[in-house]
Amino acid sequence: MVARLFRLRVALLLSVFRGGFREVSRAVILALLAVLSAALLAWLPLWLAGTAGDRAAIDIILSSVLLALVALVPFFANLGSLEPRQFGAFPASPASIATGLFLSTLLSWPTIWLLIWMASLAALRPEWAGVPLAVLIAGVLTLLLAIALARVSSALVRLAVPARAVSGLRWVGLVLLLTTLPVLIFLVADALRSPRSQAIQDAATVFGWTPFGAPAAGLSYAVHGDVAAAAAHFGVTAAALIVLLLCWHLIVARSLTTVERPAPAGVTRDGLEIFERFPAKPRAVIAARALTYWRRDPRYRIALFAIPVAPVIMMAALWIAGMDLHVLALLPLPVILLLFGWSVHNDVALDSTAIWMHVASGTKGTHDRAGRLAPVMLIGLPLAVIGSSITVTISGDWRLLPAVLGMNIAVLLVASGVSSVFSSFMPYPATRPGDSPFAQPAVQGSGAGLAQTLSMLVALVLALPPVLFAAYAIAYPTFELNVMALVLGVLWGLILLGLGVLIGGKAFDRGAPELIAVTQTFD
Amino acid sequence: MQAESVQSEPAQVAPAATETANAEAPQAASPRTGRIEVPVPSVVRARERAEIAAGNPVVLRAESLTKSYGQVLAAADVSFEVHAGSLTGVVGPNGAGKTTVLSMITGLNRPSSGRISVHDIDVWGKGPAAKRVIGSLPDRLRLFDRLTGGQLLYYAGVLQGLDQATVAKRAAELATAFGLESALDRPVSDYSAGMQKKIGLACSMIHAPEVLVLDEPYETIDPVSASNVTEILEKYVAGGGSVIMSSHSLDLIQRICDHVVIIVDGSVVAQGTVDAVRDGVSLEERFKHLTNPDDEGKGLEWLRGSSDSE
Repeated sequence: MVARLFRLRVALLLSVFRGGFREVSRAVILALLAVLSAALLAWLPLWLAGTAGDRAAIDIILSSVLLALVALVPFFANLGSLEPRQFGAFPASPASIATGLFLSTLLSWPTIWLLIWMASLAALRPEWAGVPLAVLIAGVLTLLLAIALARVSSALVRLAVPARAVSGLRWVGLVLLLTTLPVLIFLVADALRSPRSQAIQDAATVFGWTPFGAPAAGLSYAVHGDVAAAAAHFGVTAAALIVLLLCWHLIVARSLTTVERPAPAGVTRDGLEIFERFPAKPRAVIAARALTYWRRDPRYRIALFAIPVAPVIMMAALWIAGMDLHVLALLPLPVILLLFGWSVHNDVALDSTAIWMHVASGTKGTHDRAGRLAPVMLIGLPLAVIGSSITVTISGDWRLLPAVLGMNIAVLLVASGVSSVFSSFMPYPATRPGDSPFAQPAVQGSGAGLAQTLSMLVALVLALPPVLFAAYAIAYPTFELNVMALVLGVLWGLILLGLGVLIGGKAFDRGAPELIAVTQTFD
Repeated sequence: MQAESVQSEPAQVAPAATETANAEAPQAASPRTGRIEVPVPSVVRARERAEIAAGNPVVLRAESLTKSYGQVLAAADVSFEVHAGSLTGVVGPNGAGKTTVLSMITGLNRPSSGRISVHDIDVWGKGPAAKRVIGSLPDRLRLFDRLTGGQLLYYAGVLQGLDQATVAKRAAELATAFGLESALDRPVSDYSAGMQKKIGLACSMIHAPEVLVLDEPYETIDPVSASNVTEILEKYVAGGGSVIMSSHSLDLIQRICDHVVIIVDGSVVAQGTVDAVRDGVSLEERFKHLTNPDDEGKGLEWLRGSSDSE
């Protein structure tokens, strides 16, 4: 089995060079570019770092990121061509298929790229020449770990995610990439700006204890002669490798004995647009409906136009008043997120009397509440993450990132939770469906001002604790305080969001008929 | 039967002869074949159904439903029963409280007092369980009309707890039954009023409820679609379902319903099988008598075509 799989791998490797002159020349150029990029990546830390210590730290971080990507990319975009299930029909034991697939992955383009990168590293780090054994161990561990990570994650996704959900997963991956990219780019830019920063050393120490960064960290200790620390770090990766190999064998055995649950007969969800991407559960279809409305109904869009205006005016006023630009940079995003989460505090009134459908079907209040928050969450969370990294870039200290992120996520979640309660407790007249989004509501008065003021005040007060803690962490930017601010912000936000959905849901359950009556008077 | 009679003739008859055979054979075989078959009209089926349904168990029971808005009584002590397999009409003059009563049944309007139960499940005590067996079409409430017809059907089905295979199958069949197949990809807001009524009807049926509560289902529907809807409702009732529907058209109620409840000023003034309620006269005459017994044709003496008086 192993030998056969190796032959298959060689054929697959060479297949890229098959075809006409164009295809072959393109493949050759791509291969050359790949080799060049691997060598460049190995050289990059030399250019970034001033001292050997910094270089080692950057090496650790870079190899951690690389190995993490090796695990993540196959999960979100599965491009593998040889998978366990393809061999289910052959008379071979799961163990031999697992071993064969694992070992033959050595002969794949990504592995070859990795080998080139490691070879370039070895060539470009003169200090490694003194510890050939450690270099060999680190290299082998890195290689095996990379193969194990890629195999496990791609097999896992094939096993656990149905084929029809793969495109959705790719979207999730893209969104994640887009949200982390600014942070990553900023980190690299920051490293460029101040290579001797203590934070890089701190991060390298942390990364060094993860299986991803441990080989590089162990090697760095070996170079300094600390054999015990080196062995400990290598041990971390070796342990992770053993666990992954076990998982790999289990996954292969499971893949070979199960088939994907076939799509139920007669299911055609064609023409349902956003609904096709959500499961057929009440909460999920309400989310899909909310998203459809945000896309098709101009009333929702118009309400969002005003949101960026407030922070701009605020910034201008504070800037004229002479506030420090670094502090000022932190302000607009939480204000935008607060307004964004708050913008759905009258969501039921926008549905008008159509809400009867939820009531007549006995939909749970919590499902109604949670589903409605989908657009806010799907836009707000990436906005909070991307925005936080931009904020930190402008304010110029990347150590603030966890605190800023925690603060922004907390503000968004708290505001959304408060909106959840208010939209079922205190609806007030809104522009009717189908009317011009600039038209005034048909009915005026009846509590609009009170509901707006009260919901905003409650959101502000409830968002205060995590914001104050984050402010403290920003004022005294130690790593521990920042991480605490992040954890506190996310936890606080999640708890209040959950409470908001629960309380709002209860209010919806109890007062649904009255809600219909109220929307009828608005209509 | 016609085919049989033709085959009994010699096989080599010319087409012209077949026609005569068709015309003459019935006299020989049976008196009913050969004539143009007149479909049994709804009204006959309704009369037959009334007797059967009266013996069926009660599925929906309203007990002294009362709804007051401040001093105004929209419904006062409304009690009635709907038997399984019956098509019950609720009629009453404008503003009599029909919509109020029907929306109290479907759980959309909380009664001030009284009890409403479906299959002995209290609608206001065990809402979600009762709502699974009720299908409702309210009048004058919006639909989520930015969704396409297909999305709306899917939405209604999933909210009622159906799995997606069932929803897909039923949505397609309902769309065909109501003649909406070609409109499923268009937003409901672009539908005509009649089509919106039909998609609403389809949504109310998608979870195969045991009781359909329809408020003015025939309003704005064209005559051809109306007979189509009647056909669907009769089929549903024949299968053991029950329908309670309101309408302004007494003619329609008399034609397709087997039971009727007459509501005037929020109170039930008459109920029972259509025949029992109309008591020999037409339902319209009976209704007129019940709603305003004495002041017929009074007032408006000044309203006449020629203005030659005084």
